[in-house]
Amino acid sequence: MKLFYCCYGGAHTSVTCASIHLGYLPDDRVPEAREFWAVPFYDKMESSMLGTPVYMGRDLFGWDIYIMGMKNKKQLVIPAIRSCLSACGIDLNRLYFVNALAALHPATSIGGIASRRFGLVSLGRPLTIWGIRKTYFSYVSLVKEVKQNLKAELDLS
Amino acid sequence: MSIIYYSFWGTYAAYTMAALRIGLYSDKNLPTEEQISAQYLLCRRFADQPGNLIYVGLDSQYREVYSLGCNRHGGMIVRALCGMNKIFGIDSLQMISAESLEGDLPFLIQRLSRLNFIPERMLKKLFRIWLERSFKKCLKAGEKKI
Repeated sequence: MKLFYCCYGGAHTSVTCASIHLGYLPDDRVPEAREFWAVPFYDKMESSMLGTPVYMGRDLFGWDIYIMGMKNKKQLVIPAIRSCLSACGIDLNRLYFVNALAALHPATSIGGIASRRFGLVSLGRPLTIWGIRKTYFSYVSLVKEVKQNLKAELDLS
Repeated sequence: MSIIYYSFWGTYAAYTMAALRIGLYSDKNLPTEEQISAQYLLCRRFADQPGNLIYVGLDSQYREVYSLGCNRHGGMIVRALCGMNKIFGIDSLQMISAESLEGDLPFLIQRLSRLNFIPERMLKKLFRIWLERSFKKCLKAGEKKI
């Protein structure tokens, strides 16, 4: 089973959600800024790599967790992926897409543009972290909800 | 093995190249009136549904040929599909761009088709002009790719 956390640039919110999911970031407190710097792929995705699914790890249920940047074109990229995999005979029940932009703070958005688009990493990266820390528990709730759904799915199967 | 032709709309240049590939369109003459009407209808119905794969047929080597509309995000979709293929162990997908063959006329046709007062025959005429202009280009590009 594969789970894809999707966001605009595949560099901040999707990485945060995947990290909470995999236990790289805590789910009971807001992490320190330095903890974000230690997360793999945080603020790393280049614009030229948008669309590429990046493997983050395997969770306790045995699901493979990926991150993906899709700009604001989820309604274009996801049907393309699903129809292509379906044509190749892949069971679509084996993959899930989760929108990780649910609680995007404007500071994260501005910081992301500064860091990824204009290359102002020293300004943009702290700003993205500040924004994510402000709405951190929204990401924790999202991940908890996803995990509950996965557990229910496993119980059913 | 599958081949996907992709372009902005997926029903204009990508479909034309796919139709040439499978032999639906002759590589010697322009498509027949019936074929032009059929592709025009396809454009009217599916051009505004990018991201949905359109099955066109099988080529001479029994490979499935599709067309796909990607709007301006062909690169991102190619990376997404190639990434998914790696993840799921599918090694038999070839993606061919038809983006540069589309031109501006399809944009005009699609925009005009949203205006109810534009007569259908005028849109069809524009489509025919586009096909006549692009057919040779598609044929040439197809020969290079094959």
